[in-house]
Amino acid sequence: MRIVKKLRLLGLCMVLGFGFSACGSSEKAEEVKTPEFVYTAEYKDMPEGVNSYNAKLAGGKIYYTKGIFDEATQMYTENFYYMDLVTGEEAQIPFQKEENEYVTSFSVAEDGSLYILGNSFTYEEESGNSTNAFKLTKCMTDGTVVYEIDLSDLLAGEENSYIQNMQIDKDGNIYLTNGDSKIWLLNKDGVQTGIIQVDNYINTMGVTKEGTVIVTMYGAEGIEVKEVDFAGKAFGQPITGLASGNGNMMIAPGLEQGLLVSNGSTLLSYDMVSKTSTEILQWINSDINYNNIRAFSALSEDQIAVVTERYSQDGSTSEIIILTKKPYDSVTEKTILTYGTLYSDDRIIEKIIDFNKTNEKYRIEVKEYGIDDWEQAQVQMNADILSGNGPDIFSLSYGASIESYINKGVFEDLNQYLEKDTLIKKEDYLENVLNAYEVEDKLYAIMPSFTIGTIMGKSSLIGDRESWTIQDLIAFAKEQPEGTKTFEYATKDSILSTLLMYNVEEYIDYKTGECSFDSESFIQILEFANQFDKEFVWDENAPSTPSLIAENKLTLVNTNFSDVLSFQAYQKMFGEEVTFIGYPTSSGKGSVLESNGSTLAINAKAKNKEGAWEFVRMFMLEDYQTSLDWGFPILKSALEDNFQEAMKEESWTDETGTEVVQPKTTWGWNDFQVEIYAATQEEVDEIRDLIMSIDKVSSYDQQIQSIVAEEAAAYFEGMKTAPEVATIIQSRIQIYVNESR
Amino acid sequence: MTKLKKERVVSKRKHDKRERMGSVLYLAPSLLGVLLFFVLPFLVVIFYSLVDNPISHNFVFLDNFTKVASNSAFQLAAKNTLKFSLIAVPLAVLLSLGLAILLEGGLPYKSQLRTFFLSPMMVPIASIVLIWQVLFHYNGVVNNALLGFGLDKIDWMKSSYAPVVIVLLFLWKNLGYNMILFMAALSSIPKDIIEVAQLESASEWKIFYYIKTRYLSSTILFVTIMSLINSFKVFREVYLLTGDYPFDTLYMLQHFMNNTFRSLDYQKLSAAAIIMAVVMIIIIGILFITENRFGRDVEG
Repeated sequence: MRIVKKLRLLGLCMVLGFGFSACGSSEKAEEVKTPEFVYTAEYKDMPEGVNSYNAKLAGGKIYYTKGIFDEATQMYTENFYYMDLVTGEEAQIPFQKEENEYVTSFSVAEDGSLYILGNSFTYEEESGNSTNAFKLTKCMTDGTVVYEIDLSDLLAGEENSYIQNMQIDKDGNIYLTNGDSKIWLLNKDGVQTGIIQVDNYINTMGVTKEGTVIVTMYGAEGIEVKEVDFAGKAFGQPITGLASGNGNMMIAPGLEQGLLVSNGSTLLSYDMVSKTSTEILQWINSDINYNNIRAFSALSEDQIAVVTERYSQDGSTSEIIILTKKPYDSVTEKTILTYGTLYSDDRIIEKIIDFNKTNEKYRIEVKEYGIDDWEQAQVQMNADILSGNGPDIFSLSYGASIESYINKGVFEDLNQYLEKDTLIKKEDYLENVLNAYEVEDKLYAIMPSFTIGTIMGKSSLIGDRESWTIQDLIAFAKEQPEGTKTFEYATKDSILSTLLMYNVEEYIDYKTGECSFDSESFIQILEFANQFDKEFVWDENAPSTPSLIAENKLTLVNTNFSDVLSFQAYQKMFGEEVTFIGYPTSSGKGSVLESNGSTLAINAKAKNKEGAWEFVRMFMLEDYQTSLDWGFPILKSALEDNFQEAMKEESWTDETGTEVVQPKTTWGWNDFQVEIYAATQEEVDEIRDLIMSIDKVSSYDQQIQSIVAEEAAAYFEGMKTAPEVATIIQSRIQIYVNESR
Repeated sequence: MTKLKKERVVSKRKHDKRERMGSVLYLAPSLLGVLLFFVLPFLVVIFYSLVDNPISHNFVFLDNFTKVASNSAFQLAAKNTLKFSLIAVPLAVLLSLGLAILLEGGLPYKSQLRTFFLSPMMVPIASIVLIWQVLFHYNGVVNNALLGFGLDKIDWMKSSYAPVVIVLLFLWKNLGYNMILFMAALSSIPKDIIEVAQLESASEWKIFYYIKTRYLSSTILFVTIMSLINSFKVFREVYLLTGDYPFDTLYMLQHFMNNTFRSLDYQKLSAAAIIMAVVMIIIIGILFITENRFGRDVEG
């Protein structure tokens, strides 16, 4: 019996002991919910010549202007049209506007009447007088003009007289806003009844189904949504219950009541009575890039009309899209791949939409983690990875701990896919960039385009060297005459951070785990950083960067560039031969690769790795690599095309038929102008050599940087000496390094 | 046995069985809860301590334990935690016992003093931390006072004086509660035995040592265990005062666990937790046994 009692005692002790040690975490299994409905899209190209940016949707029709530029008369005429969205019939609205008037904006009320704001600018040569006239016209779709009001007195003389938005309420009252200071109120006859002064920037204005005008503004704590009270000439009820999303809201009247709101990636309906919003759809799941939306409207219970405009290198294309609601099961099932990212990148969204439209087997759904809070986003993504619900495709933006994920085996080895791929050959790509994330012959992530981060200075000052250490940089700075700036826009914190970024290995021996932040050389860095200013103060009248460089008053420029033009511009800024010496580093060269956009990886535990690879490889194909807006491509042939384009002269023919060479672009400062012409072969060769010589990817250890910055602050403020601060830094970072061994 | 007796025995067994099943059914919901929220997480922790990392799930058996035990950060954390507990817990117990005896011994303003000592418990931790920061900051009140006396400033939170600050904070917060418990225990000691001892002209010290401590033994055990638990919880104050990576004198076990959790090194976290749990079991086991032996004759 005593033994049993003793065993029970031991058991109780164990229970207590485990309870007190407060260990562990528990996992929650997450269910993937399939939505009940899907909105499938039907696309219609916008007719030729339409100005889609100010197209309006109302009452089941789309209203727009078409502009025609007559070469002979050098006249630009703009005509109004509307199209019925159901039948597709287009009709012109026979509204004649004056010859020299151009339409700044127009609005359509629910009953189909148009309110057109025109602006005409006349300049009389003899007297030198100029008049800026504003006119508001209300007309019906058959062309009859209801009234014309001269708004010149109202608007001329305003600092900002550009009308950003115009809305009509249920009584026909007109609300005009210039977006940053005022809302003018005019009654249904066009007579001004009041002005509301606004302190914040107005994001957008819209009207509810019931006919109340709503305004969204950038308030102290994010987007504020308010009703506009016409009679009271002030803001009315604040509207609660609407999440602000990414800050770019668009509003339209709801179908039966309330509002339709697009707050970034989601379309919601908002009920004015219950003050709640319900999600209708995620734009990307209907293959729409929310950045391209110009207008939307509810056509019926099951249909939503959207106008989109997409900019690309070849111009802009716009579409009218009708979304129809269908039950989820009725649409052919494709296997879903999840694409997880901290923040979404517009180029990738476009590619996802392309993939979803063309790929028959797979469909990609986007999961954006970082909408509210970056730290929380990281935690959430980690939690998903651990519980096995990580996305199939990762998009890793700068700062995400790529190396840590690689060490834990989160990512799939992409070399096996590259070897099997028939179209993509590793030799066709820039080796150092493609293999930036290769560890022990396994490639874990791909950077489809990049920029170069570097430090540059005059070769005459820097000498023959191709790279340098921190000590070299400090010595270089000391050698310069009194009053010479080493970096512009530099502060104590920024210099400390820059110097340490690629030099952590000098102070941490990862093999033994020994840190040496209390060494003399680290103390020297602190002392050097202390020489700079605490904060950067913007001085409008300060001499420009190029003029400082020309006088040798500024020796180094820390920058990054993503195309040949900026490279040439920087060279011109210096005016003589330049050395791209890079960041101070203890090994290799100091210029670094920075991913401009997203670095892509595939989850090692993804169920559909083949499908995920089908998506990732799209970014390596010639089609994508040759159509980058910015950033250097990684495909060698695309890079050469890029160089060829840069070496092409731009010219125009003058009246006599001679070709006049013109600059490709001009960079200007207050006291310095740089015109950039076609690149020379030498310049292109220099960039190519620089790109080929880079052996580092930009990355920094956030924890180490923040510990150093936190403790260095006490030294910079003069509270402690550099050796004292170095001891504390050493102690803290030593713990950090020991933990991870 | 006669047939009747046998029947009675059989029916009694059946009755017992049904009773037991009934009680199991009644216990089932609680048992399920304990299983889900208590036992299952343990098993998960044990699982994590046996794999190389939470994503790849490759079994490495006891490698994690050896790695963690030889990890210098863990050793530092364990040493600091142990040192802190060895200093703070006895101090908490003895000082509060002393205070309780003082107050029970007929000091005036007893209930006001009691309120005064209990009030730190009611203050939210964030406010306490703010005040402590103001006091012990490099340019804070205490350093200004030191300067006034002509002494040098001490970097309280970032030097080897840091544990002093934390011990003070711990004592300030916990003395009141412990004191109340001791006061209650002291007042429940039967007066007649003490009177008898006094009549027999025993000294105060002998009365205290031979009689009062016997009666207080279970309370002393309880207060010790509670203080031990609270000494582990002091991580919260340290974290609020100094963040994830404090100066090495303040680096505690829970810092180690917090940081390895954040960097997804669950295997280290779990191994450390299990090592800590084993140590706790041993300590508490010793305490139980001591109490059993010491207070045995009183409780019977």
